[in-house]
Amino acid sequence: MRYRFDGPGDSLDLRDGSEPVPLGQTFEATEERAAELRFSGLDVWSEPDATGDGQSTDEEDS
Amino acid sequence: MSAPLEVLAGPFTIWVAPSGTAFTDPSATPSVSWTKVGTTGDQNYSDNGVTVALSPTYKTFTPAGSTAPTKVWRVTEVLEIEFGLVDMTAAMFAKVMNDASVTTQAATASFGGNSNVPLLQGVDVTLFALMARKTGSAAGDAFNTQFQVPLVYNAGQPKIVSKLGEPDVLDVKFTALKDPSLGYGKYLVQSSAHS
Repeated sequence: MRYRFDGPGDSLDLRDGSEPVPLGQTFEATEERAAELRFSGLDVWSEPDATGDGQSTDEEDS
Repeated sequence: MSAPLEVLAGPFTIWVAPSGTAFTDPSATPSVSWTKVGTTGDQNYSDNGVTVALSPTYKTFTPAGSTAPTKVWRVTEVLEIEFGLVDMTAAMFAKVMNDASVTTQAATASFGGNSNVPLLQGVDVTLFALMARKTGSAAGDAFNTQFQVPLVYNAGQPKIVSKLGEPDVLDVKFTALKDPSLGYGKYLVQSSAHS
């Protein structure tokens, strides 16, 4: 799934050998990895929900 | 606060934005283009407060037939806004380090996450627009007082003296350059709310 990096910082180094992700840009990650990034304080949201307000879109599916 | 209203106290809070950004009216909350210096504004400044220093220098002419000067010229004008920033977040450190980029490194199974800022600033000096604002004006407590300066650079020389029982302080000295059309900017005393 694609996720968007909304900070903190101007870029995100995922430490996987890829280029740092600029602020506001998207990157590919597993759901588990995205959850880890969020848990460590990063503002990382899946693309359909990339509004920065942290609202989940899961409820729309049910 | 009671009268006399024209007697003001308390520190300014500093806001910066890329040079050329439009100033926000003193009656309004600064727009998203503006970054508050200090995560919580004046709560992150050392107790020396915020100094706005206008420092002109003069040259006088004393004629041969006089012991006292008879004419004066202003030869330089310097505007500096100086304070101690007690905020060691990567974002604020980067802001005073030439508005450097912050790289956030994600945590992995082997390494913790971090945010990092380069220490080498290079030749180019970042220019900001600056607003220094405080609550209260000579016209009323509900109004704001604001300095707005179109072009400044940070000439502060941070020397972090880490001591037991003392906060780490970053010396910030925003020094003005003359804007071709706005000069050094303005001092605004809000006198009424929105009409």
